[in-house]
Amino acid sequence: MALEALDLRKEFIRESRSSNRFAAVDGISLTLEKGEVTVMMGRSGSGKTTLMNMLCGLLVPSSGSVKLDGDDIYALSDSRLSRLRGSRMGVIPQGQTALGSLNVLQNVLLPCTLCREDGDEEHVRELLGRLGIGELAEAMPAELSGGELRRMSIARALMRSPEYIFADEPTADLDDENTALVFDFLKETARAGASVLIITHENDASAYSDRLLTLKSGRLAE
Amino acid sequence: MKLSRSITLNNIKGRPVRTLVLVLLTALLSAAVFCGTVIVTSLHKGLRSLEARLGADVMVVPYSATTQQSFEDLVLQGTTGYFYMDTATAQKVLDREGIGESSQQVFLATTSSGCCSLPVQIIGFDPETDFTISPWIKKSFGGELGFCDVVVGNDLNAFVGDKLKFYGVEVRVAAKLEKTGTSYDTAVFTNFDTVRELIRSSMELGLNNFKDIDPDRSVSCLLINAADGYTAEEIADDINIHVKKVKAIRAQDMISGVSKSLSGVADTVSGLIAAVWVLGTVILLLAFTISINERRREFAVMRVSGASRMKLASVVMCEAVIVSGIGSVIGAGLGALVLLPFSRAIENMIGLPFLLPSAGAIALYILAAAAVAVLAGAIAAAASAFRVTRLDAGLVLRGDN
Repeated sequence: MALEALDLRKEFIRESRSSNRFAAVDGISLTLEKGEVTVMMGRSGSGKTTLMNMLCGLLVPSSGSVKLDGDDIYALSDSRLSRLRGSRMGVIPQGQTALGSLNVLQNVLLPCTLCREDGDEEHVRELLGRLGIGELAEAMPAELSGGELRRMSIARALMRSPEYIFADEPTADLDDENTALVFDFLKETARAGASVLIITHENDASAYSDRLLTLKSGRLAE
Repeated sequence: MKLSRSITLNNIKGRPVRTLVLVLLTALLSAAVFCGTVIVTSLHKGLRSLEARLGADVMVVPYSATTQQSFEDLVLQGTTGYFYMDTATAQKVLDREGIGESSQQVFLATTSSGCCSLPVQIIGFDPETDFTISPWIKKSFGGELGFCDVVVGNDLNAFVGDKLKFYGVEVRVAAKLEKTGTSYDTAVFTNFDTVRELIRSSMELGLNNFKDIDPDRSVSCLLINAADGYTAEEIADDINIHVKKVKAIRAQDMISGVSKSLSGVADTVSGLIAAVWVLGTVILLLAFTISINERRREFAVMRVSGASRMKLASVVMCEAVIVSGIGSVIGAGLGALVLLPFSRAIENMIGLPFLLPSAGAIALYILAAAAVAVLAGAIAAAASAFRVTRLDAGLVLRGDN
């Protein structure tokens, strides 16, 4: 029961030079095991986010496959893949991801709303409390700081207790104290059985990892 | 749909300015479609009413009535007038071949001077032979008109039981006609005995332009239907060739000018409706495109959180249908509130027969206009919905796209 990437490759064409194809991810194979925190590091443009997007079913690879429970997720229809992503995966994208017209509680409940579930408000409040923003459940995104929005985004990804968590720079807007709080929380989630992939530039993250990967020019560097 | 509604309703409530602009646009679209449709329908209904009002294949009037243009104006424009021919001449007409049904009418116009309660056209008809006015009167009055009883047109400020005075003769309002959208609405109808009494009285008061006529032996107009095997054209030509001092006019010829004008106005209004619809749809399309572009990141977040491409499209479409639905109902309702009270002013401005549809039909037009505006909103949003389904969430969230 693991998520497995086999010889993943993603090519893009640079718009300024249409003949110039380049591979953002170039033949990566890896396995994300349950109960593990995998930390992926690398310089900007090394292909970390592209790899994560392919692993969570958001970006179709140019070649290679992503298998979950032995099935290629890109062989699924869009609705089945979306359902799978909503129920078994939690994605924390880069940057701010709030829906401006929903309050914090509604934002965190979004995956449930999209799956036509009522969602457990108490669970949401508990999650927000664990992340230090419990008192902001009714606030609107415009009233929150960058760090608070980031933690709201983390709560949303963890809302449905997913098996696979993909976190792209989850601590980018956080101070040291909250960075440690988030990494602790993700570690704890992994210990509870989830597989966590963290993309970060924080050197301290290695202390929380079970496995450390480094990407260089689209390839895994040992 | 529950998912789309909950997110959509929050989007609608959370962006009041954008929502207001979209609602106003669809309201404008809906109001234009409703008003235009009602105007075109009213014009067509007015023309049909006019055709029914003429009700005869051929009308025969004194030749002088046509040279002075008074007869056509009297029928089409509702201007007042009167002219007479003697019954002997009328009989010559009726003796011609091909005459089927026929009836006679006697006209008199009142003035606004002290002799009369109202300045109106009075039309005397013979209930025994009439086949043009009686069908209208029967809709409002089932009885028989007695001496000095009149039926008044719908636009006249007189009501059943009122006493009116024409040339010193007091008459009683026995009934009021339903709205016809023609010059009937400003006329007064009575039987031959009454109208002849009024003519006599006008002559005694010296207020009648025709000094030497015998009211009992005068008629203003003959209404004729062709007998089987004859056409209106043949009868009119025959009368015009063989009977002196009269002019036979085909009803179709009389209304052809009106019909052409009406077609022109109806085409213009229809063109305007189409232009407003297309323009409104294009503006809505731009508005939705801008709005959806601003929210690309939000749609990407929904996608990351488990929304399929179809769900994203349904959120966009649901929002468009709700916003344009609200706008279209407001627009059509306001259109009705503005248009209906001013239908008389529109009628006067256009100068063509104008008869509003029934309340049921107007309600249907409100629904249809609302549906058309919602359709425009849906079409405008469909392009944005399609674009949203093509959205690459990964790239949008990285800020690269």
